[in-house]
Amino acid sequence: MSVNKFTTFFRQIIDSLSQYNLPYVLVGGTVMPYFGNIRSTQDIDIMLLLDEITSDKLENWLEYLDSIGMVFSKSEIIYALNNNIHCNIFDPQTFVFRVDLKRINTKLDLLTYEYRQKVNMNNRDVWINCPESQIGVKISPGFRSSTDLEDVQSIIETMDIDSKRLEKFLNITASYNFCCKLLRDFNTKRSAKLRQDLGCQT
Amino acid sequence: MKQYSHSKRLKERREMLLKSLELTKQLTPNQRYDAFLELQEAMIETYFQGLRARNPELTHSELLVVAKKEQMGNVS
Repeated sequence: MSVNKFTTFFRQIIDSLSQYNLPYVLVGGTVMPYFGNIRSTQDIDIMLLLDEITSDKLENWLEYLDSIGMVFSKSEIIYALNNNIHCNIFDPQTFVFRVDLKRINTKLDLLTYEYRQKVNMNNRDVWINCPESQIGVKISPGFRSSTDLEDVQSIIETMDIDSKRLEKFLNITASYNFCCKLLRDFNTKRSAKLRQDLGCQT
Repeated sequence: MKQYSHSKRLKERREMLLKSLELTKQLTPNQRYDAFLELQEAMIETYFQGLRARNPELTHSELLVVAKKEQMGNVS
């Protein structure tokens, strides 16, 4: 298969994160084919772990991305990350693909980072979240769109889920009851098994 | 009645998703990723075909300027 536009953009971002030694975790639609559901997405969702040491690395990384033509405002990115706001870096070849960047800030983010895993994706070693984190985020209040819930179902039907770990994510987002109800609605063997493992009463 | 037809549609969608997942589960993660890359390429092709159809007089570089304007003002 020839290298396509998404691959070029994806590799430039992932390679540069490794090159500048920035701790990150890839989440969202780009990791979905690894977990089950195959669907298109515009966003490469990346969460960065930033502190005093990594802030210099961040500046260098942004300067590098600027030098290879990525489209963004450096001052806006730094302001957004310091204020826990999402921000974007655009692919100059399409402007359709973009990185959605956010700083690791909440308990949920930190737990996601703690359980990150290295996988081979697109011929690169990439740090991605665990399936339990992907479920926990997608059923947390503020998400729960039809796409999110289809993603959750595909993860449950495809991946082996650690119920104890999932419970940690559900407790942070106060989504335990919602998860139990959702698993009942899915009404499959795997969702019933997970309901049992989670000790769902409702 | 409205709620009933909504639940029915939802149930049908879930059944369709399960059928497609049965096929998806037979693929390795790498094969799934290759399928994802093809979808990504198809999405970008479709977008630029639409842009070209709406602006047949523009060159590729000029279309990119339109794409930039559309996409950078289209961030959720």
